[in-house]
Amino acid sequence: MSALGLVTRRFLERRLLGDGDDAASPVPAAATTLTVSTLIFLLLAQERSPFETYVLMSAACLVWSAVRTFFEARELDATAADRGVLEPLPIAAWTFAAARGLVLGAELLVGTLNVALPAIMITAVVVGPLAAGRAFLAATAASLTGLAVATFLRAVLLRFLGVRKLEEWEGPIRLVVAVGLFALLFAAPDLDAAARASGVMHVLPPLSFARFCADGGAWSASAAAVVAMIALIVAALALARARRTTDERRGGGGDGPLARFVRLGVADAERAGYEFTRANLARDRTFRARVFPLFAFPFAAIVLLAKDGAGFAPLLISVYGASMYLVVAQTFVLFSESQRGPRLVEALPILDADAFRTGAQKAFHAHVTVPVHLTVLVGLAALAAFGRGPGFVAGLQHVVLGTGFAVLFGSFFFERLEGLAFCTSDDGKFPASLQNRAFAALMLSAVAALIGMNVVGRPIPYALAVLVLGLMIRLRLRRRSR
Amino acid sequence: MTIEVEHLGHRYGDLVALDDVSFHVRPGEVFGYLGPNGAGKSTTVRILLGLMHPSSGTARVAGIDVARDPVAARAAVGYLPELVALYEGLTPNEHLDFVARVRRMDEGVAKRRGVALLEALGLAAWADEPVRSFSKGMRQRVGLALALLHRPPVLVLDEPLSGLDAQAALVLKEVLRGFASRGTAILYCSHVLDVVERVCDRAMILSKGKTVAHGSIAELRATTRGTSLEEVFRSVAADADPTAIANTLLAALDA
Repeated sequence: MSALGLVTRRFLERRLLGDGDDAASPVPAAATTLTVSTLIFLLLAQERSPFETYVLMSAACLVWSAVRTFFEARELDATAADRGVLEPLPIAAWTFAAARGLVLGAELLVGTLNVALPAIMITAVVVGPLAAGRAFLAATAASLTGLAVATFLRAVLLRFLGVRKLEEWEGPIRLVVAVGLFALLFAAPDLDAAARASGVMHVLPPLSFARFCADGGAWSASAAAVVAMIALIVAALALARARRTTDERRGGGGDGPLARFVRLGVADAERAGYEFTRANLARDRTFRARVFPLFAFPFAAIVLLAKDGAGFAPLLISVYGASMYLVVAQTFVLFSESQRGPRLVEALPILDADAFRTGAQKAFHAHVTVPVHLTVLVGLAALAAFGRGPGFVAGLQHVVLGTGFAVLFGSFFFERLEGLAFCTSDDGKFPASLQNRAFAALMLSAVAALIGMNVVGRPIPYALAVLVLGLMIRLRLRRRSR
Repeated sequence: MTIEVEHLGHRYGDLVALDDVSFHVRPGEVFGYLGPNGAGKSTTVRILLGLMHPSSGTARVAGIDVARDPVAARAAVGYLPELVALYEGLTPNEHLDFVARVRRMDEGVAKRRGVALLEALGLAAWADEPVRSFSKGMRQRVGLALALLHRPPVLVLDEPLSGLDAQAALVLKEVLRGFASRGTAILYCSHVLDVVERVCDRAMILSKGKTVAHGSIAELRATTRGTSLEEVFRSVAADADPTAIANTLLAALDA
């Protein structure tokens, strides 16, 4: 076998088996994006026209490939073992690049198939096999285009920001991509009108490929679209520069008024857990990269509210969405991006682990849960100001309900985390314990509620929400009584 | 000459990492390459492996200009880094098999040699165990086996005794002498001076990228009138008086 073959096989084996514990294969950080994309597509595609269906599916594939390429590609960058074992060997530099390209291509192909398959099946049943074939072509083409665009953007940002800065911005950019997906999904009916109004939409492969597949017409790429793309890059760079300046002015730290208020309620014994978690929440790049996209859930509620007013769906998203993202986010709180840092904590005499955990929990809610939901409230207020959405009072109710549920639900899970926040070396594993089972149960209940909403009407999902809430409270009380 | 370095220079932006460094390592010679942290040792090693282009000067390994043909140069070198990073899920045998294939070694030879190396290094019982459970010393021994597998004409060792227990360290020193007697040129990077004194024929001391001493161990001692290499190092490369630094540190604890 040639050097290229050997190196490619090594990279593939590493991706499939991981270099950590054999008991669990690594879970790609894009898994959440992928799951969300597919789930929402499945729910929405049924009621749309073929054109919109293509748009939705292609959007999911585009986001998948872009997120995958943009950030998880770095997992294919040289690891310490690559540097120690591969680099000293007589292998040309292009071999590594080619091997990484091959592995990434294979992963994208598999990922695209995963995203596209359920959509294609639905399309085949609803519209017909020919349309499904076109849909598959559109998905593949969108993925490949997404790959090209993301690779280009990554290279540009890497050139100007450097690896460290790019990694620091990984989470926020993923959030933008995830929010963009939601916006694209919910704006689909007005897509053509929106595209005419904005050159940016022309540059999005889903629109172009959807038009190509639905109408068989040529897809356009105007100079305005190119200018819009350049403007986006420039804006992103300017934003990064502004952010850097702000960080420098702040001296790398500082709390908002809310966090200062919460700190008053942190007991001395909890202070270590609170401060340690607060610092890591802000600086742990892996945590930011994984969790920021999940904030798209509560933001999706804004989009839904703008579109559907005060229907049931926004409530569902604001309650279940908040719960889902919190469960996942809190699971990731366990892990530290540093492989060796947790050993420092292990060696420390933490006499009161419960107080440490409580401090960490308060830090999480003060710096993640509440700020995110307050931002949603600001978005709702903005909608109300423009006469859209359910109005400020109804929006406030959503946010209060969502935040309350999130804090309650989050507290329940946080107390059951097996380990201290940011004290487990991140080897890409997702702990296969209570959190996973609970997450799976929650996802199922959310799907059941959505199906119930469509099939039976509103009482069932409301009842389910109350049931889950009651269960949480009961379990929480039981734990306290122990 | 098996390693020829002529007027080597390298800059990282404004920082001068190497400044006009020249040395030769002959076949059968163990050459000590010394210096404090940041002296330029690792930069030299990366240039010799063709992983980095020098800003100026040339480096040749086994007659090959590493800047022109880094792949051929690496084919002639066995390299043991200070911290051996391995694929955690692979066993020593799988590592050896992979390296042998990339180096296009004869399968039978690679197999026999791999078994013998692991046996000699005390790893035979763990040959099929994933390295994730290995201690630092065991990893270092796996790294050594990977470096020696193709019987390279040039060995580049970066703090090779790091993590090894006393027994393994003694074995390695004997192995180095044995390899040298077979004609292998060995570049031995370290700041453990007494080992260098016992293992190396000649040595060079770097400080802030510049050569501050160069010659046989006896010549270095004579030049600085030091009785040991440590004294030589102290007189030519130490930035500050270690005793004064230690006193400052102890005083800080009383603050």
